[in-house]
Amino acid sequence: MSFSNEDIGAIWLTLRLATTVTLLLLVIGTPIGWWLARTQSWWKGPVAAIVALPLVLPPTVIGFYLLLAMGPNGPIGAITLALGLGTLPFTFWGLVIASVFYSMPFVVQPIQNAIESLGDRPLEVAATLRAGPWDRFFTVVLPLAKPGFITAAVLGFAHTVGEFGVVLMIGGNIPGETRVVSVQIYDHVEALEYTQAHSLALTMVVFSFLVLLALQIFQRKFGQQGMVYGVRG
Amino acid sequence: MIQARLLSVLLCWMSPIVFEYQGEYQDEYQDTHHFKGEYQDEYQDTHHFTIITHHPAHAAANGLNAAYSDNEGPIHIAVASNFNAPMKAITTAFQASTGYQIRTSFGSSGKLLAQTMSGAPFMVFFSADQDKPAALEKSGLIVPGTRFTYAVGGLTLWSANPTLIDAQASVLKEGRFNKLALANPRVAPYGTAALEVLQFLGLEERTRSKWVQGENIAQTFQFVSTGNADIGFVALSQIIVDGNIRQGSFWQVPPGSHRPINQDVVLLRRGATNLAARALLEFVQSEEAISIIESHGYGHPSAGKSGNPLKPTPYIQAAATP
Repeated sequence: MSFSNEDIGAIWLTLRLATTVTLLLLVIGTPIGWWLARTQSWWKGPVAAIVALPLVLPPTVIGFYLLLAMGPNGPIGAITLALGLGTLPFTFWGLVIASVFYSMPFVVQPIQNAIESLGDRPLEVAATLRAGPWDRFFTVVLPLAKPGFITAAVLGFAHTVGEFGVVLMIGGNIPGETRVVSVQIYDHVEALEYTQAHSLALTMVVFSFLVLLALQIFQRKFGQQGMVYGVRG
Repeated sequence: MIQARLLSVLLCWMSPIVFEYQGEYQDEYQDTHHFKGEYQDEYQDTHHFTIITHHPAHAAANGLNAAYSDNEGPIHIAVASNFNAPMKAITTAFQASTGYQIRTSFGSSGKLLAQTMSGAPFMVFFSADQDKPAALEKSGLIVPGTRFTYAVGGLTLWSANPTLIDAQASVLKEGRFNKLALANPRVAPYGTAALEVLQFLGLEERTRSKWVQGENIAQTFQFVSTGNADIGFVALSQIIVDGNIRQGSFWQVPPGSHRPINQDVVLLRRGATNLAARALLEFVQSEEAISIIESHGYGHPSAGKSGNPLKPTPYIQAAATP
């Protein structure tokens, strides 16, 4: 089992992409998850549905619309061009934005579930002890919902690593910029380079298995059965 | 959940789009007649009625695919996705004139090859190149002597912007573009040709930083048509819609600047005894089929310009490069 320089480049790029996306998603996904967990608003349903859309849409559909929307004639493209940023397809940051959208449900839903399962009581108790909203979040919610956040981070990371369809549609296969591992495997298969494809593909399988195994062990340890995506134990 | 998604992604990736054509048996008498004519020599040579078991190719196919060697029902063929539009027209004409039924799976040649090698029920394989049929030939999966070139692809530089590309393609030579789209040369024949053109023009290194690569020529076209790449090397067949040139501007690459994009077809062993499969291979070489192929922007080896795949069809000459 050996990797070419291109393979290693693809692995590094994938790790860089997944790390960036996971960090961004924790920042963006936490307020969304918090809001979804606590709100009584009529908007909860529509917002939750939008967050969950990438779960059911084929990646090619998402990729195709992102390609149109981020293009020079699309709404996102018009904004980025007006800001002097150029257009996003075929760039690393284009992939980051696409992945943030695509992996969003995997981060938001565990956070939302964790916060929902806390209930009102700990927050009310903290409030009676004069803890402000931020204080309550950092000293009560965050420690208690930590397993949910860790689940969210792991799933967001792993899902971004495994992303293929969207990257294929908007990436343009640029080495060091948009050529991630899944695309590299696809190329190997298409070029009939099955040995190289095997090396990378097997690495992916082992990686994904270890990540999910670690998650299972972690959840058992914290008694958080069923915190894997969407379902609450 | 992740596992389920990985599995579904894998399945989507592996299965080409399947189009089914419904035809009718219009002339069963003709089928029977055809059968007699085709195997008469063999009958005389061997003095046996059980033809199938005494033909070497049949003997090979017989044990493997008993279910496929009968001539009932539709035949299943594999077609490179770049040939989608002409193939639909060809199968429609073929079904109308022979009454045979055809089910077509479109996909990338590489995937179709992998599927064929793994036992996909295809009888005929229309590839986008020559390598994959040759690989099948080497593996003994085709009926010997049935490989030939059915179409020759044309390559063109195209932009969705009607004024961007002039007759000298100066936009390309002077680098006045944001991105240059081309199919991935490692996996797509049109990409290999595009790379050869860039080398011919001495522009490979200068343009490389602006390349965006599609996994196939369809995706490459998408990059250009959505305006995300200013220009791109696409298939001539993609910018011809119903006999007219699509809106935008284009430049025909110089003749001889790349090796011809020959697309080969083979009869797979599964189809060795199938009359419809053989009839289709004959039909593809008929005047009627060749005119369909050419009307979609492909050349044909019978045009006798094997060194120049870009035999301009009349309407291309009429539509002067802007």
